[in-house]
Amino acid sequence: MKEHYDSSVGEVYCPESIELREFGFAFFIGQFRRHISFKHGRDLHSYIQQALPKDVYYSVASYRRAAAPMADKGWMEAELPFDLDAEQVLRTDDPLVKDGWISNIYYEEIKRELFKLLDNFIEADFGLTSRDYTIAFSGGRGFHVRITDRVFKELGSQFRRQIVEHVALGHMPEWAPAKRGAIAPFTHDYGWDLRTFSWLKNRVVAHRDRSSPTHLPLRIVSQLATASKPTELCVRRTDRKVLDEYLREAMNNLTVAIDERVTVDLNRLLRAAGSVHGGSGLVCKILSKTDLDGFEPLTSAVMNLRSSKRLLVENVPLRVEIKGESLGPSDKGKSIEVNSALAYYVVVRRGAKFDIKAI
Amino acid sequence: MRNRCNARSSESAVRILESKETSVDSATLAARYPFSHWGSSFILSSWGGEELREELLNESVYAKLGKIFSRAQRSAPETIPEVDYLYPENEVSAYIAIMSFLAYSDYPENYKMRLGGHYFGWITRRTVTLLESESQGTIREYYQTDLGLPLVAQGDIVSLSLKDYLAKASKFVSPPKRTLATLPLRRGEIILSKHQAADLAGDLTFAYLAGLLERKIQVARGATNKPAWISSVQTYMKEFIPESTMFDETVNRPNDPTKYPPCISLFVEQLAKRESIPHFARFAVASFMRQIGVEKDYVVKLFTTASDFRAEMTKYQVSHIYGEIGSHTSYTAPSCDSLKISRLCPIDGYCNPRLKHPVSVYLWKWRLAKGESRRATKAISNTE
Ligand code: SF4
Repeated sequence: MKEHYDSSVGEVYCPESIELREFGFAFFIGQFRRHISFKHGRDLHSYIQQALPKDVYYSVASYRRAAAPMADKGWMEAELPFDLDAEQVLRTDDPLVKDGWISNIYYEEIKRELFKLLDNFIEADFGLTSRDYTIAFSGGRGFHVRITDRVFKELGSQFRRQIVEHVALGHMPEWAPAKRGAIAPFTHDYGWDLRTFSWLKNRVVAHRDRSSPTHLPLRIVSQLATASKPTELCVRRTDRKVLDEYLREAMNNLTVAIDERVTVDLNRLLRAAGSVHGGSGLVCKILSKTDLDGFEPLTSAVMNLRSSKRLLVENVPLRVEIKGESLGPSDKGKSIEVNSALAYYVVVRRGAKFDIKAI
Repeated sequence: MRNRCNARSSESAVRILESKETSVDSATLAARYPFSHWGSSFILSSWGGEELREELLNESVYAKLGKIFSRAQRSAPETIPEVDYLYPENEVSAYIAIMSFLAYSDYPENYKMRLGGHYFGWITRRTVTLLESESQGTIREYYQTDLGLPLVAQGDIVSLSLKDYLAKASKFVSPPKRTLATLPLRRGEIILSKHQAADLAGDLTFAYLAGLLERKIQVARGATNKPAWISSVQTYMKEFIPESTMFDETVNRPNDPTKYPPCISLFVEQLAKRESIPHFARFAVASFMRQIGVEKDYVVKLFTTASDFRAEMTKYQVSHIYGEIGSHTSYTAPSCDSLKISRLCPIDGYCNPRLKHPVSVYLWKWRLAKGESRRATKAISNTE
């Protein structure tokens, strides 16, 4: 940590109106200190260099008195945060993911969900642009997005909860009576209705093109093929049940499983971009949307270390490559010298121990 | 019922208040939407006095209301030819009378909010129906002037900026019923047909009126100019609302937050996070706590984390709910329906459709836990 911060502390991001933010620090001895504030970015940087915390956090909220105890802080506003964490976003209970062993394939999947959040919701629905939000690799199992637009920053938790519902639960069509005893699933042509309609159309029409069987009656398939917008679709009352199954599938595919607790919490501390995630050894990195395409955490978010360490490899369940060196299942039981970034990465995940004999 | 508003509308009001619409005069619009700026202007022009939306109305408005009531009392029912549906003076005075009655009556505050909720539900449903047949210009004027939300016309449809909507809607004490996910969103705009614009206006109007009543109740708490007719109306109302339904006894149980119903848990959680919650939600928390036998000091402490906490005021209000000061009436927690009407119930449906009261839900959870532990004890003894 010292080696990294000696050369790279300047990369720790100083948020807008830093004096109004609460900072929190976790230390290697298990202590957590919060209710700390800094007047300037340079004060934060020298604090980090001196205290060498394991983790650095700052509040999404701005307070009148950021260093005061919670009840006296005087909440002013809070960025609207989204946390995309591998376990939740991928809806997986893979024990490797739980323990933080995340392969590039998984990171690619999380990125796809992140693009869904940005393209379909933050931009297409809320009308925000890249100037209104920041993206960061969390340094661990996913990504953070913070909306910094003023109106969103002033929302209370009730509306933040609605935003979570909008993104993570979606909206099943409302179904309304249509002409001649038929019913129409969609009541308008925008937002969730448009998204669901487009998904349904692609899914069903694609199935039909590949002549793969779907259990949707043909009349619905052709209705969908001819409808050019959501409100043009009407079906028989008896078709509702079968179409509802598809609509539920649409919800599963179109929603993004963000962490509700993070988004609705008006006082959340989130990891500071540019700081090291003490539990993973990767750097929490600010990214632009265009950076995301080529972004690979194990290449682009590693600590700036030149030294190396000798390890006794215990169990590295998947091949991990950092700075041209790698460790994997076949190295079990070996004593190997690797660069410090890779060493930190596997040691904190209990995949190896520092080889004391070598020291 | 014949709509005679055009025939009998106040000519002077029409002259003074030139509506932006050429087809409908503003007195007619005052009759249709008595809580709107049209209603307010009608009062100003034909009665004099203060703006309709002022929290406290002045004596001249009450005097005028009194005259209208006494006229109605003197006429034998059979001599009243018909009900003046949408007659401006009737509509506007009825609206003022209802709001004043709700604010100044001696009912418990949860009852006032509950009665208000019924009235607002009815009047906003009517507003939606009426707005649907208005011109786009009138709808836009209503949004702009009364809801503070500019609409942009795009042919047959209108659009509303999502940010404007959020900024406005998030300030209401009870948020609009329509959630974000149901709105027709397109790149930061809410795209509305006339029907949808009317529907959303109804929703926002409800939230606006609920907030207004809450403010009026707060102002009426310390007011000295309580209109004289309020007590007679309240006596008359006893026939419809037996007062016994408003008060009941506490059900002393140990305070177990894990058994709180979702609404109370949510409010307590929001308070703990220093969020400001609607007055009615605070009332629900305090009266719920009183009913389950929680000490007053514990409740005051719950509120000490609220962002707008003022120690003396909080103590005063909680003591009031506990029946220690004021009317010495201890208040009952609002029912599920009241909370739903005020949009404060966080779930769809009911925790238990047969109970419909947070305190009953709390007791039910106790019974469930007791039943489970009895069953568990039985299961253990069976295996031994
Ligand atoms: S149903 Fe009743 S008890 Fe349950 S959360 Fe809603 S208001 Fe509370």
